[in-house]
Amino acid sequence: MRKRISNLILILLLLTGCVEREILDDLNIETAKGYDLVEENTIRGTALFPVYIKDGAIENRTLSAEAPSTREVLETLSRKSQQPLVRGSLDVVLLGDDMAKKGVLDVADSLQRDASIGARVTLAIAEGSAEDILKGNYGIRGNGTFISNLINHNIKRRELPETNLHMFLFDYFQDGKTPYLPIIKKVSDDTLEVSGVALFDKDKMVDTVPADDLFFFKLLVDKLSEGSHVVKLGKKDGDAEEHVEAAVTSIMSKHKIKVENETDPVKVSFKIVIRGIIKEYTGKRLSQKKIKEIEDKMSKDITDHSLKLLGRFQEKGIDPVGIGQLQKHGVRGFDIKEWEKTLYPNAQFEIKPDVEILESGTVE
Amino acid sequence: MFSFFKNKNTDQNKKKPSYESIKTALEKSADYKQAFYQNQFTGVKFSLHFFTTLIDGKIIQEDVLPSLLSKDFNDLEDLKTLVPIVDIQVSDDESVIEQKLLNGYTMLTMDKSHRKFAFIATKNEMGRKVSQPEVEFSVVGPKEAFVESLSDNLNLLRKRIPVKEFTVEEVTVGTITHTRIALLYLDGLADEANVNTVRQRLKDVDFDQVMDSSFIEQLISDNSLSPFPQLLDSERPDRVASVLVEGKIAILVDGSPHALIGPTTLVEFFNAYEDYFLNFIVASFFRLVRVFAVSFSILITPLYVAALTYHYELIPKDLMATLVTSRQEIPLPPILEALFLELTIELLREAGARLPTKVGQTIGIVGGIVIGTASVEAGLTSNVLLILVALAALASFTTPVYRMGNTIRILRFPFLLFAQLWGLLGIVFCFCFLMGHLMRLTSLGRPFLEPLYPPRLKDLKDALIRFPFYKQSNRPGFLRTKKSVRFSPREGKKKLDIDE
Amino acid sequence: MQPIPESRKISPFLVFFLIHAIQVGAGVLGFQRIIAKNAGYDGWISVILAGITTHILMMIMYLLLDKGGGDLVSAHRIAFGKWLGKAADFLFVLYFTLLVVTILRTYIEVVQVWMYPRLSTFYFALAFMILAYYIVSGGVRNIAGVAFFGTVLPSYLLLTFAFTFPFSDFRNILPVFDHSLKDMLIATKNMSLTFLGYESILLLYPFIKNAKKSQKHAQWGLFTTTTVYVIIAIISFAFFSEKQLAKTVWATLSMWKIVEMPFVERFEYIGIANWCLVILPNVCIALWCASRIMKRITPINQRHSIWILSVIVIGTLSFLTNRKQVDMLNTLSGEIGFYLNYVYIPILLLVVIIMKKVRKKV
Repeated sequence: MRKRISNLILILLLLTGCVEREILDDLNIETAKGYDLVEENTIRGTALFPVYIKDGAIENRTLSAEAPSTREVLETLSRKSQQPLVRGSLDVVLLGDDMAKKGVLDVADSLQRDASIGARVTLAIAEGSAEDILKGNYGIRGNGTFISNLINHNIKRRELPETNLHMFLFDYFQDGKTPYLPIIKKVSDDTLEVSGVALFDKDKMVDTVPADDLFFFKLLVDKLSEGSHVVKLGKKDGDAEEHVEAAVTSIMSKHKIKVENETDPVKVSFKIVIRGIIKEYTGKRLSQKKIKEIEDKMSKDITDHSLKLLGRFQEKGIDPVGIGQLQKHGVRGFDIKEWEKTLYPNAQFEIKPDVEILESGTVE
Repeated sequence: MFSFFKNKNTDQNKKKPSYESIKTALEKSADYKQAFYQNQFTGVKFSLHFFTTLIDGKIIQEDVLPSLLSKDFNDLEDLKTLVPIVDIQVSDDESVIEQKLLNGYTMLTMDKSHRKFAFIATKNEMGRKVSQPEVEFSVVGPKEAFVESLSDNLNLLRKRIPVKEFTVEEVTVGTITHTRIALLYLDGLADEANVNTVRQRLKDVDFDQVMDSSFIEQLISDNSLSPFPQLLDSERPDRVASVLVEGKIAILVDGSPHALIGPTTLVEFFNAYEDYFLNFIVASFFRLVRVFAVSFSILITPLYVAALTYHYELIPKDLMATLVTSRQEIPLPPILEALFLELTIELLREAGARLPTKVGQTIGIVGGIVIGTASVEAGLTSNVLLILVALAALASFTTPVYRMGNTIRILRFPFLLFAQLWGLLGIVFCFCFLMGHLMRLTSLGRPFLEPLYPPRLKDLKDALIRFPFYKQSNRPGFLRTKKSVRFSPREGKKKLDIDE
Repeated sequence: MQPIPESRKISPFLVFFLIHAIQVGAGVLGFQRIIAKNAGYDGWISVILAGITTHILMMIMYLLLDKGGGDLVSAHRIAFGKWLGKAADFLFVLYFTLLVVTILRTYIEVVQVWMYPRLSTFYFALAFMILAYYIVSGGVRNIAGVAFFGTVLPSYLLLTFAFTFPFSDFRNILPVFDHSLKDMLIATKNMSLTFLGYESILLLYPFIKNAKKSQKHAQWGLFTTTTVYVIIAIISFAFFSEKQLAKTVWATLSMWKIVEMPFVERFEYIGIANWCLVILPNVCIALWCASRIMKRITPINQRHSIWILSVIVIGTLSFLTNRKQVDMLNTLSGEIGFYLNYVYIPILLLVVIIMKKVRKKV
């Protein structure tokens, strides 16, 4: 008897206990999303989802809608979609630069609040309009995958410091650190490029680091596993060659930041260790002396550029390196207000580069 | 045990079948023969009664009749000296007549000695010769398998365990078939409680027929409602001998080429006996492969259904394109698609099992290739799922014990339903049920999940992986054997340094 | 109390799993925010402090069991006599039932927020209680088994936290001792709520072989729990910035969002589904404890009392619909548990000792 009752309950369960289904092929799965500011209070949201065609090709479809807030954009978009529009597989969220200047926390918050969205979502700033970028046609694996691969490979192998949704929020909420995001630009209808890094004060974009300075920026904020810098050597006395260029690829780098808070003003020293190899060299002969010269010049480049960057951060009142955060870890009863108001803007920086070139290729 | 037979006898005494009534009953059968003779010298008249289909006529013609007709035959007691046959019994008990005649004895009666009968063993042993194992085939190792004859099977075992402790107890089960069942164990080694459990359960069986050991397995297992077999069956004499030495109990049934082994554990069902013939590293690897195959076989289609129905987020982007394109034209939701394919595979297996071998093979090929390809092309199933289901079926056949393989194949259906109900959560939920069920199961009163639960590290030496023999100095703990130590572990040999 | 047959008893080392399993439950998914609220990123010290108190309490409980005749019910009887003792027992029935409700409801909430917003509380609770009934009706051996598998099988989940390391900054917990003692103590109290459940030893005790020697295993169980919590606390402190953590309700689950494997893009779904295995022993142990007390104080068959309790649990669950109520439920059962453990049980021990002396004199 009891068995029969439990069987009955089981059948009942199967009939009624179901939860909402999201069958893979009956969904429009968003892979990328863009937000642009069109007017003072109107946001234009664009959703990109792939349509898979039988022979394996992927067609990019976009839907756009305008509304006063990001949440309403979402609703309007759903109304336009033939199948349920789901955000669980979102890879990339692009923000137009106008939008970024106004503040991106709304978007970040809605992404964080939605349990179905991962923490590895790439946030990026679109130079120009996000919609424009999403409407292009890049690669055969769909725009979403293309953009996220583009950024990820630049993070892993090039000079872009690592960012994602989680790291953005971490920096945003951390005292004594401000977030940064990559900027991408549409070059032509099927090409994109990483054009720099956007710096934020809280959630508002206030400055950018151009692509050329990314090598130094990444040295300051992140570990550089691979990235290259071209060292230019001018003419020297007694040197037959005129103008020599050497492309140095870093294979390992680390930085150590030390804050001396007893002194006034606060002194911050950066020890930047970098080990590199020479990949390209335009001179005639690469002697030990020349290598030493290249090392010295590179050290100088690092010092100059880093100091320039750090000065700019101070000026804008931002701290993407996280010096304040380091200070916080070292000091009991750390007062973030005092740090931001008086200590940080007056801090003095010192760069101690340690460059060593390990190899110079198969020829001398 | 002894009392058991006594019981049966008193039962028969109650009815008191007389010689005459038995005779009239037997005479109805066409193969029942009575022959009357007279000795040439003494003039004694006697008659032989037998079933022509059960006896070997040659024995009567060559061994029995010549001596009885021509030699000095006076009395029933003379038989033992005159006839060159070992098994000759003289009795005055009428109640055994029926049983003896039906077991291939020839009954000899004399007018002179009224109400006394002699039984001469003239049984005609028909049956297969000992042949190669087919279900538990192994490439290396012994190539003998049990046959249907109990005495042949016992012979195979006795040869392997030539010690006096090897005990064979016999009982008869089945109110009509009177099947002989042998209970085997090593006295002084196997736990008395286990032996008693089997004895008691065999005694309690009340069923009219026992055609195979699987009848006994179902009749005496601890929880007959469970889909899991709780006694291991084996057709290999080497395996049975080996577990007897471990301290387990085996049951042989006359007419069945499969022995039952207990107490057993879940893990044992995934161990092939061939594992012991191979190097321990290779054997352990194969065991792990089997464990993987079983989990794969049970879980892969439910996972497919769960992921496609509920968790598109989980699917890697590169796989997404493959999955979506393969499912684009399919009108069925994943669950129906999966059920359709699973049932197709079951159909193929069932058809293949019912048909004669050669036709069966054809069915396999026709079904596998033609139906598979056609249903993908017709847009009824996705090719991804087709691969998964086929792999799952293949994986389920790696289980060394056929019975367990069947259970494994059935298990995936509840998992499928729960996957449809609550996705991944449903699968884990169903797993919890399965876990609870396995924990409650016992084999002859011993925990079925051992050595996983209750956890016994010592017994893990021969479970999911197999340690080298010299490490296995103890018998399995859960058997509670009287001598738990197999051999004293090798004394720490002094390790020689290089070139010493 | 009729003696427990030897075959129904469990090995003493399984106490380790029983204690550990009931302590680790839905609390692990989101305790970080609660301790960081007062003690900030010194919260992990509070976890250790709370852990130490559990060890002391476990010693008190074993003393109580030793002096009080084998289990809670007999201790109550010695301390308060027959009727008052039964009233006290009934309080514990209510408490354990409340635990079942809290654990199950919290888990269902997690599932509803993270996986299926439209999951029916009633049907899921119903299915879960059928499962719990099936396991509890197998007796203590089965419950210990569920505790064992509920500890061993999901233990691989700890490894997945390694995926957070590339995004973690362990300097976050520096400087140590940056908060006042008072804040730390408040956090310690809050943390001790998450550790509750080990009082089930008061009823499990007669079912343990060599029960007196099992204390060692119980203490190891507590120690392992504390270690696991400390590890998770430190990992999440390193992964989140302080203000970010304050906004994160289920920090452990949010950490899983970063896990990415070649065959699985997102891990939290697997984590939540697996958590079912962690929740199950919680529910089973608490349900068993409640029904065991019922068996001891009433003539009702234990199977029937499980049915009765299950109906009560499912009924109560269906009334709790929103976040606020779930929060309230957690606070309520936490507070009750705190006072029962930290106040009532030491007092009970004293009363038992005194009453025994008084009776001896009489």
